[in-house]
Amino acid sequence: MSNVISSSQDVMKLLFNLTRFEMQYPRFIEESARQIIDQEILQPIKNAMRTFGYSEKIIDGTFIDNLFVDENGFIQFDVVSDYKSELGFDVAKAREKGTKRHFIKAVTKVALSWVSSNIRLFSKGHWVKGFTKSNIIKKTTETQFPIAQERIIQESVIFFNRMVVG
Amino acid sequence: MAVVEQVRFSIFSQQEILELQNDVIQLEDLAERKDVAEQKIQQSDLAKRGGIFAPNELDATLPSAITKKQGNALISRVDESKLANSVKSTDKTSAAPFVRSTPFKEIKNDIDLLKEGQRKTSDALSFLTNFQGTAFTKLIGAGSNFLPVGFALSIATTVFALIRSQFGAGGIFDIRKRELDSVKSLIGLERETDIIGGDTLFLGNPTLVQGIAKNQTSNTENLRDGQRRFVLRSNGY
Repeated sequence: MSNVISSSQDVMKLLFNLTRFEMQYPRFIEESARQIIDQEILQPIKNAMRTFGYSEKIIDGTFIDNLFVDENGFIQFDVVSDYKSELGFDVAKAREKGTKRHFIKAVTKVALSWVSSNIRLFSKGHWVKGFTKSNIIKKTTETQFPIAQERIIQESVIFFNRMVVG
Repeated sequence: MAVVEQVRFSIFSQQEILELQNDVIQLEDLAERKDVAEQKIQQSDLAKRGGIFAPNELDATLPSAITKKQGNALISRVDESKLANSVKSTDKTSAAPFVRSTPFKEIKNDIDLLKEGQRKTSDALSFLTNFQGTAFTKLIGAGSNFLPVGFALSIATTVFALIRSQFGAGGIFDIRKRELDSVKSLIGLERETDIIGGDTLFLGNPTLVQGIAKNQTSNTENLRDGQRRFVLRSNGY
């Protein structure tokens, strides 16, 4: 498409290009956004988790879910972190949101056991202080959001120029 | 309950794309007016006489009958009627009805039939295929003759929506179905046929290979060696 609209045929061509762009844009932006979100949101979250000493099980259980393009001009998705212990305790949530001081006791065994200063200790149950909330997912998402949004706009503009302007 | 953080990015919305299309439709008026103006200039007396730089002696020397013939040769009656139609389309006070060119009507009728579901799937396929070949060409070809772009947009949008739907589940262009068939029929069956037909062999002796003998190894090697041994022994070696 030339930059100068000189006849009704040029208008027609521009219109067809726009229609083609309208058709192909949702699929393109979904694929493109999936890559950008992985690079700019998910990986930084996982890196931050490693820095804070999260277990690999929590890191592996962090992923992007429910990504979809709606008709109002938005891409929506969830950043999910899901890891529960064998007894159903939500470890991922405990690390992200923190926990209050709480009582723990042995459920499947006779007593709790751990090693401290080369001495094995046993307990029927005791109080432990809670985790401090880290809010890694929330904070990293907020920090990385403008970067990812900028990249998505850039990709959209490049795609528009390629499809419509030519 | 896992940790879930909902995020939303802005992209081009349908509304924005529609606004862009509306902007383009507004260009139609300008382009159409330009085309009409060009046609008028071409048909003006001045143009018939060869433009403002043409020699004036032409009018003086040639009889009026010959001048008229020259004018008629420069523009055909078909072009004149097209121009007349275009002028009527812009003239709101004219009593004469404006008749659109036929290709659009044909295409629109076809689309209406498709939308109403009065065509069978095979007919729909043939229409969609032909649309690329003939009707589409008509549409583009007629574009130079004062194409109503808004009308073309409605056709394009409807047809693209139809084609898009045919790529979906159960549609005539559903690719997944073909891939599944190919996996089932081509790879599995071909291999099985080769094994049953003897084209693919599973042998314990690695010297017995298929195809042309490589590195002086063939599946008749044992026979050949046996025959050589027989010849040598017969000759007393």
